[in-house]
Amino acid sequence: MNQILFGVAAIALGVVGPLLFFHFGYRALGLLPDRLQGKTVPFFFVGPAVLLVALGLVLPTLITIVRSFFRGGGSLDFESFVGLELYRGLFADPAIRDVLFNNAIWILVVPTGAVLVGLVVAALANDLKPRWEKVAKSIVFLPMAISFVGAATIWRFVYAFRPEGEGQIGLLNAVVVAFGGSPQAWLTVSNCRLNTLLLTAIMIWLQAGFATVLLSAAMKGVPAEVIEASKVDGASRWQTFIHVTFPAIRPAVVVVTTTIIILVMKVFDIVFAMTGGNFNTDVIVNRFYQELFVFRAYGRASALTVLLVIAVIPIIVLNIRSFRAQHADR
Amino acid sequence: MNMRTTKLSGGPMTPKAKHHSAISLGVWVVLMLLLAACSGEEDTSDTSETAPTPVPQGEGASEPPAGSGASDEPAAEGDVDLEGQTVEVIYPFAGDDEVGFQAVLTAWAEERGVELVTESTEGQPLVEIRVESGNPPDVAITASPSRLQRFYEGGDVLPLSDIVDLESMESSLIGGLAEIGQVDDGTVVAVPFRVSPKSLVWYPEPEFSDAGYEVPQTWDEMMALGEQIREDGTSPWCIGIESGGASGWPATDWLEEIMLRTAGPEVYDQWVNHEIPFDAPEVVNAAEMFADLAFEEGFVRGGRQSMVTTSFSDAPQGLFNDPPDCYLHRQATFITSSFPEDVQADLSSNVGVFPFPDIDPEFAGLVMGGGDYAALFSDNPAAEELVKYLATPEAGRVWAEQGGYLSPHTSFDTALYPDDITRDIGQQLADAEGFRFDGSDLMTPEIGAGAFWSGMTSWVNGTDDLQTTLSSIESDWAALE
Repeated sequence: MNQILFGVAAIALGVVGPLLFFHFGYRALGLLPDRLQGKTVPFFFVGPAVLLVALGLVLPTLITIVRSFFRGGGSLDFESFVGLELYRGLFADPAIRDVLFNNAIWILVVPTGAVLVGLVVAALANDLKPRWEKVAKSIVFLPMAISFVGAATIWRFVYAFRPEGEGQIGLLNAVVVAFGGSPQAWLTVSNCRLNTLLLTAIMIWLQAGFATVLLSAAMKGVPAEVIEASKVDGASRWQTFIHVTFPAIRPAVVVVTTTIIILVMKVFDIVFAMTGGNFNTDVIVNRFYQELFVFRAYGRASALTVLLVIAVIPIIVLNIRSFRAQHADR
Repeated sequence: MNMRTTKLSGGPMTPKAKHHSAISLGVWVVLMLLLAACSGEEDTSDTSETAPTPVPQGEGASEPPAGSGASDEPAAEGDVDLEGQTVEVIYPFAGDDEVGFQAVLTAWAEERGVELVTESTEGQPLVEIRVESGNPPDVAITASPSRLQRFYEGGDVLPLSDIVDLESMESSLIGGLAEIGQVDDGTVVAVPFRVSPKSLVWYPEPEFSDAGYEVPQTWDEMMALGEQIREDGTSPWCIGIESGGASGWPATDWLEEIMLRTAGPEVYDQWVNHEIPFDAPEVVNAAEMFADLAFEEGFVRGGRQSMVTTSFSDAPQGLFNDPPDCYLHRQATFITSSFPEDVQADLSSNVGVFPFPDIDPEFAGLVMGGGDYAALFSDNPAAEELVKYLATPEAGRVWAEQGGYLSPHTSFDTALYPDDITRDIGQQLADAEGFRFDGSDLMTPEIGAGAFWSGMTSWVNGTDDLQTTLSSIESDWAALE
């Protein structure tokens, strides 16, 4: 009971507090000389948010970067300073190279898969009556409402394995057995990284809806006259799509792709819940978790994180540029 | 908002407007002070260090005359008053084990008027995470006391010499168990609460005898038995090594078992303390023996793929199917909590158990086992009392009746065990030629609870071969030092 009251009080305070803060603070600014008011008001409103982001995001990032230059259990003393050695160690470690390779697979496969599904569904749904279009898109979008761990639990039952001869409870194995094959413990099969690919399927399932909705909106933004014109010129549906529609929605495709890439670089829950990083499915963030909590190697964990941040920066730049380009056209 | 109060809204400020501004400033300042005050309070109200009543520590207070370690009475009147205090406990138990331990905690909490907050770790390094994030529990139960070394060095775990009557505890404990609760400099930071001998092989007694099988006395006999069972059309062994974030530990148990019996206790100790490399010939040999059994075609139910995907608690189910899908399962005493309910109801009739056979006659009669230890992470008086209680033989009573529990104290009344099987195992432990604690729980956690576990999983799955696995564990361990 105490917890409910505490929760309600926290919400009330969290909502009403800032309201009061800004209301009375703004009025209090009236006391300032006229000259200063104009300059101060913007800072007053933006200040708290910037401060919180600086404390909660920027400062830890800087600390992590600093930590990545010290080896060991976290004490930042002179003896522990090793400069770039941890980074060198990471690149030299074959296990880490495997991990980076896995992340590369994720980054290549998931955005491609999600965007493909999104394009197909958006293009086909476009031709449906509005009501069915909404239904189709909603169904594809539903998985986005599921948490990663929830998705992992669902897909665990798709990939579940029981020895040959016993009833299969996993969907995939049931299909395989129905066609006369023998069941596999799919998540343990790392030939050609099959298990990683199976895990990426989960992420594609989760993100396809996002891609569909954004690409569908972009497609509707293509002027109908242009489509008509290309039909009049004798182009087939496919040609219209490739040469007219797709170039027109390219900024949106880039935004969707880069957003998904950023998300995929952070993948942890799926790998953690399904395989724990075993069987060659390890990814950077799971590795980071191991280094930090099991191995207590702060320096190495920090270095891994910094690598991830560096890898993400170009994608983010691309993302923002495309986003601006997309909106500049409007 | 009344826009006329500021310059931004245009026009000079009226005296009334200035008046409003001043009031607003006053209100704003008060709000800020309140916010600062409230956030200060929030930090402390969440911890379990609630306003403590002046509580005398350890021996100073009035207390039962006999040291608490040997007393048979429940909490006497002279005990510290803990009414209304809260204790947070983290433990690694799940399933019936969890039920048993909860029963122990609840019985104690009700008697002392303490409020309990408990959480199961579910195979994750939850204690490390909690300590890392500045939110440690009050008491943590662990099966790997080696993890406590770094907590001790970091000042997170507290010495128990003033809280627990160490002398009387050590005199009633089975030999070798007390030292494991000590850190490198000899300070006691953990007390054993449950011991789980692991050198046991379980089998479905009725079906086993009906099929005409006999309990093996040596490794060779056990392998021959396996072949016999296989010829009769069933896979002899059920083995499952999956365990969430801790997957692989049952395989490490197998390796330790064989290592102890083939290389002997001294080499075992050297291995655990990294005085010999992890890929030393003795280790390779022990691993290959395990492979002879576990990777042999038709010897394990479901084969290697099944081993890595079957959880350790599901694995023994095969023993109790009709007809059995396997006849042998090597596991610690706590596995009985995972047997089907009807089997547990009459354990002695449904189940048989034999000691893991000797391999090298020079190293005969040895028992390998694990144990659960309680450690203290805060100076919360209720937490101290809980650890003190868990160090006594009486604490296990509630759990013993339910089954799946074996006491580390020689003074424990064995009549409390629910069946003869548990009693026999306890007797075997007491009579053993030597006892060794589970190696992976003694090794430094990065290896014992990290590289060793995942290495075994990779090897059993076939992702890595034996040499690669052992060498990479060795290089990981060397890199730590």
